[in-house]
Amino acid sequence: MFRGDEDRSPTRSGARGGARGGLGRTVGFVWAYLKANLAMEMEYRAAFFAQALSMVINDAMWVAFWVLYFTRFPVVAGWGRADVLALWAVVAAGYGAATGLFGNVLRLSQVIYSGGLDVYLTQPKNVLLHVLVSRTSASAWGDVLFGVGVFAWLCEPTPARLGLFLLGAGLTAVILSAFAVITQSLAFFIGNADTTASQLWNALVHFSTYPTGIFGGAVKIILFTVLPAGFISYMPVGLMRDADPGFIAAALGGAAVLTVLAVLFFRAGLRRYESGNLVTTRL
Amino acid sequence: MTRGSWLHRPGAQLAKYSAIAGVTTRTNLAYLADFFLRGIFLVVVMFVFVQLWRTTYGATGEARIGGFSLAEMIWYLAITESITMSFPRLSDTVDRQVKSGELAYALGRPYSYVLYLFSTYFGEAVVRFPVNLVIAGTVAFLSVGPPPVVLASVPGFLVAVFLALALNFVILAGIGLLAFWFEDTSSFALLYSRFLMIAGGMLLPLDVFPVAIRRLTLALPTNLIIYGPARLFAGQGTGAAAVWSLLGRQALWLAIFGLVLGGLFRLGVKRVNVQGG
Repeated sequence: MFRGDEDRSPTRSGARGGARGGLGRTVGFVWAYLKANLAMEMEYRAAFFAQALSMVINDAMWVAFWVLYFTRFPVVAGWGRADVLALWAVVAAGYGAATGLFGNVLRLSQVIYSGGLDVYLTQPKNVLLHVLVSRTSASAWGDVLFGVGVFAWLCEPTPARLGLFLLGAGLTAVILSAFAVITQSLAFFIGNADTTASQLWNALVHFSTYPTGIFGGAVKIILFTVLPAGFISYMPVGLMRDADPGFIAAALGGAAVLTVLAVLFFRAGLRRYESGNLVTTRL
Repeated sequence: MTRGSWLHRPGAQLAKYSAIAGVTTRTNLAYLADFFLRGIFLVVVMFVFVQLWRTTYGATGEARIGGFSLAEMIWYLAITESITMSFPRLSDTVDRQVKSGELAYALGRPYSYVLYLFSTYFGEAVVRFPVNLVIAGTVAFLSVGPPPVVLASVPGFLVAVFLALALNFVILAGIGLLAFWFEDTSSFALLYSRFLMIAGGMLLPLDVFPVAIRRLTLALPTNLIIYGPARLFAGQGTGAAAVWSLLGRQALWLAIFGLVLGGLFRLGVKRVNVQGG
């Protein structure tokens, strides 16, 4: 399906992003996979839309909780209803972008311990990027739709705020993806890491959707380091409300460091990977 | 009268379904460590709730919110989370069995399919609930001290939890049986679970809602699945009349949804075609 694309790539340096040509090829590669994944999902159109709609309703229920909460308590720890709506818009869009573009990001551990990496190792593309983009998630697009919808409807959109929203959603997607790659790559070292990785992922997402202001002391430090939920949940305040340059720099730096760590951790794990001689066919 | 009917040797029937539930319980007990490991997320959920409500009580300066003190609120949430996380993924199982045709095999066996499902569901929930209660209760205890439960209402609470699980069962099994008519029932199951989050009082006691929404949610049976038992444990509505009212409403809705489930099952089974040998 991507033969033409792969033929144009002389090495596996597609995702190393050194030269502009390399970056362009990588973007083209991701875009081609996205189109193919969506075309595949459209084969089961009704199921795709049902899953996307389910996720919109799921997110809407959480927002309903916060609307009810802030109706009773208008300002808590410096946060108001508008901040939490912006938080949900950013997190939902970022979460959807991460799991929509990188549909395998939450199945990486399963791919690793089942020997499913073999097929990617034989192809002339960056292994990590290739495995991540090989799949999409129907419900992810419901998250994206919800995030964009909440922003457009309830977050007083202006061109400047739209830019900050997109930056926030993009940073969220990068942080979530990098964290998931690290936790899922534990499978290289401990075998079946599904439970551990999913617990850590659920914890990250859960912390990310609550106002940072309710946490203090050591927990706050953890949320801006080990479990980087603080960067995500502070996004609507630090980015969209106050446009704090210090926070923006810290969030950009944090996302970059986490991405580098994720790539290095995956590579370190890949050196330990042993083929399971799994015979698979990819059509 | 069929072989699975309760009118036929009720003692033997009870023993049969108890045995099925017992096997499921023992199977789940084999994975007790895994349940506790999965409970890490429950610790996170409870921790976040404690932080949120501590901040909320501190910010408002109110000693009681919706009639709940901070300790009662945290224990209320410990019970709502324990109950919710104890629900087995029943509708997925029924959906799969209907679509794969596995249901046809069950129809030929000497048991009622619905009661068999309930036995396996209850056999799993009976392991999950105590584990969740220990985990959520530990976080609550370390955060706000012992539970405010009135000892005399403990038996009523346990019966209320059983009826809540049963009520949830008839709704989830009904959703699963919709697979006879719909391609995918997972969306219905998700809708129901998310509706429970708000209308069931999982995230907030209904007492905190604005009056109109509170009245509406109190009129719905979903409040009997989570809010009712949790409120009782949190030391609210512990009088004998209130407890009997809760149990009576649970039993009434259980009977209504049970009849609907029976009807759905009978209609669905008519659509089953058994072929081959």
